Amino acid sequence: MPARDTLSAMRIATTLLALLALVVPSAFEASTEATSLDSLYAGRRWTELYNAVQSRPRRCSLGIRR
Amino acid sequence: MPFNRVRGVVASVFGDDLTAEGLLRSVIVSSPHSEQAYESFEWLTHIYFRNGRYRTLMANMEARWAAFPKKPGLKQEQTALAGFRDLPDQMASKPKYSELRHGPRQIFIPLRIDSAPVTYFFDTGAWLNCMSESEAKRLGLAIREAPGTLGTATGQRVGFRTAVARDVAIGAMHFTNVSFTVFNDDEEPWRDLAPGHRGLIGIPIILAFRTLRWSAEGTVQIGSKGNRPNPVRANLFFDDDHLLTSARLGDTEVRATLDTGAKTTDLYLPFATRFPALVQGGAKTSTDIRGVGNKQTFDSITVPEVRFELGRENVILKPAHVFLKDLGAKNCIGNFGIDLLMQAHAFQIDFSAMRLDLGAH
Repeated sequence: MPARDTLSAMRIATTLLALLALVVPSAFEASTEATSLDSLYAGRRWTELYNAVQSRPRRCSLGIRR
Repeated sequence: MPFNRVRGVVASVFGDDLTAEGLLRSVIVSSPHSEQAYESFEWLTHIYFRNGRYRTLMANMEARWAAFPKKPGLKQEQTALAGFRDLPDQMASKPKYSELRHGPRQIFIPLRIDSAPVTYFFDTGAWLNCMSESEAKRLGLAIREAPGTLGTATGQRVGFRTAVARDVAIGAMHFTNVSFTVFNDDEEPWRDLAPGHRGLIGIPIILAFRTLRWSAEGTVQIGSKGNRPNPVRANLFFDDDHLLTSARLGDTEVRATLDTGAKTTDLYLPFATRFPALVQGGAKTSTDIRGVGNKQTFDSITVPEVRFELGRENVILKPAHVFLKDLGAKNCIGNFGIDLLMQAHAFQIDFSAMRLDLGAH
């Protein structure tokens, strides 16, 4: 049944698009973030690098201590 | 960039050595032959160097050389570091408050080396404690030949020897296994100093004070409780083997090395590049730079006046000497000496908060 096949194909395509929407932006963000950290590191912009590290999820945050 | 490496780097820059060491070691363990591991070894070396932990430093470098035997520059590193082989790890007591006396506009403070009293100056530009040969002999320290060379303020590398003091007492604080590099008495800066004054304490000792406050009233206070760490407010940074401070020139943030051992402030080529309008019209001349063990003359431009905001105070370089060569650390416009700091009634270096503050704050 062509109509059903089309619908299935559309569903699959929609699901794929939805998955891509989930995956691609996060991959893009991760890549941008890595580039940003690298760039701050290369420029030795330490305060900005600290802020970038702190803005990560709390489990990754840096607790400066003495 | 693996996140633990960047966290380790940030912790190291802001002086949280314990955290930095754990994070950087975890990078090495998780991917021992990666470029990130190679760089983590490097950052660890900076931490061990500034804390006078030479045995650990050498073990760290041996591990790096074993993991990366084909890296270019390995032989040069081995040669440069040969003088640190067999030096011990310095140990420091916990910071304890003490008030020491200094002479007018002086940074010499009293200490005892293996019970003998001496008066040495504190030098935040020195990554090693130093003394002259006659001083080492007078104190009964065994002098060891060291095959390596050291970089100095002039950019020159000089040969050196080493001596280890069992005990160094400064106020209420004690240090054991304290390494000194030993230079000839006829070299800078020892030849102008009296016996008993021919030495300096560098970052490996000053760092252990946690805080150091110099006042024009004749006191140096060490070992106070520092302020809470807050990297957002910090204006001091450990970058490679340098202590950097940030300052403002107008609306622009600038970085310079902080060097209490330098009598005068020097500005370098990056200053002229970033602020051409300030340098334009300055008088061309040549100026000396004196480093431990040597003196060099460089082409420079003398500018009537440059104003900075440093540690919440306004300071003026009058005149300012701008060298037409980049002699400084990465991204630094110059080397801030004691002449800038002493324009305030007092200055405080706080390694907990990584803050330099001038005045009565």
